[in-house]
Amino acid sequence: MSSAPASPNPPPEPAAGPRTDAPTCWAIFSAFARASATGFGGVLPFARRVVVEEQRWLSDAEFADLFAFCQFIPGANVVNVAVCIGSRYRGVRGAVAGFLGMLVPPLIVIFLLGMFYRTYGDLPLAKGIMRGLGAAASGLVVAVALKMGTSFRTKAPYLFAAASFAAIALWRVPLITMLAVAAPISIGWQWWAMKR
Amino acid sequence: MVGDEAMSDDPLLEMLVYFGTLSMVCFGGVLASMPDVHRFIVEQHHWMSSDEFTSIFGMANAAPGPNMMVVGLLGYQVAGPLGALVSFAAMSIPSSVVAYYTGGLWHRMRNKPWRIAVQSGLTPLTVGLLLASGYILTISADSGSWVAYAVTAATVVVALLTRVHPLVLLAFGAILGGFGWV
Repeated sequence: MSSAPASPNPPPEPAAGPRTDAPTCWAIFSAFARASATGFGGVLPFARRVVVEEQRWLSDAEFADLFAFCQFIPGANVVNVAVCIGSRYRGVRGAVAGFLGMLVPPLIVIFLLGMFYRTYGDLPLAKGIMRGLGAAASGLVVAVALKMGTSFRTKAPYLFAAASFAAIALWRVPLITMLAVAAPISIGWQWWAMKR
Repeated sequence: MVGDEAMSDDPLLEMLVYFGTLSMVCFGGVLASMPDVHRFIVEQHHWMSSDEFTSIFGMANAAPGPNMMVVGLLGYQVAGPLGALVSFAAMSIPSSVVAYYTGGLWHRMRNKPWRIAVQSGLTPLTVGLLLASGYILTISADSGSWVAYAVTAATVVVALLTRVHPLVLLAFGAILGGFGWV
């Protein structure tokens, strides 16, 4: 039997940040749990309000930079934000606190909604409502894509976007195959365009 | 050792492996990976219909929480509460480990040209993936009624041109659907 470890693993310091009055793991957990549980229609604005305005853990610019990173790496963006901020202040334990804060409330909602769907999912009213939600939610996804697409300054990115759409939507190529082929080409082109 | 037959028949194990892998490669986020999830759940395994898939996606969007909730809800529909837990954990843990270990690196490299090239090279692919998501979800709806397409199109236009909260648009769709018009 091992007794309680006297010295926890010294956590790597993934990012430099102000460590004055570093929040406790509980504070990290509860802040992200609040953002997640109230985050209707996308958690990001709620997370930003909690992190930047309420807790003042990051400035607006720092949050924007962190979010750009979390969009870039794979996975759910806001979960990555919670992990990075948690680890900045409390190492591994802070990262776990942020992770759990962001994901425990939705997991409870999933259990409730899952039961609801299994019980009432076949009722015409529920079916109709969810069909309507699905139609609107599909439109929201398209709108996000078009908003992102308007930021391109040259023509080539549109070509890459079109190719990615065709490969996935029309030819039904697996995501991992498409990325393995298209990502080096698209990144290489950007690199070449920057060097020119 | 577990035999091959047992492995290929267990939805929990299948979802664990699939979502665990997807978690590491879903550049562009959870929304952008919906076509691949649809391919896995509906086209490959026939665990649910396309119509159910889009309905569950709609339900996830109307609930509070991150986009990746849809993965847990799909897992629930496939294999109950344990399915929800397995798919949800498999989708979130690997990418969080990546985030943990690369956060500092990214910050230090923020002005390096390769970082900018990688970031701006992946963006167009994400745009294509998100468009593909919208397309797959739209054509998946069973009804295929013109009202459903109209709701989708109207949502795109209003979301692009105004600052209306997404929940208002979802509520609009839900009300039309509740009356049985979608």
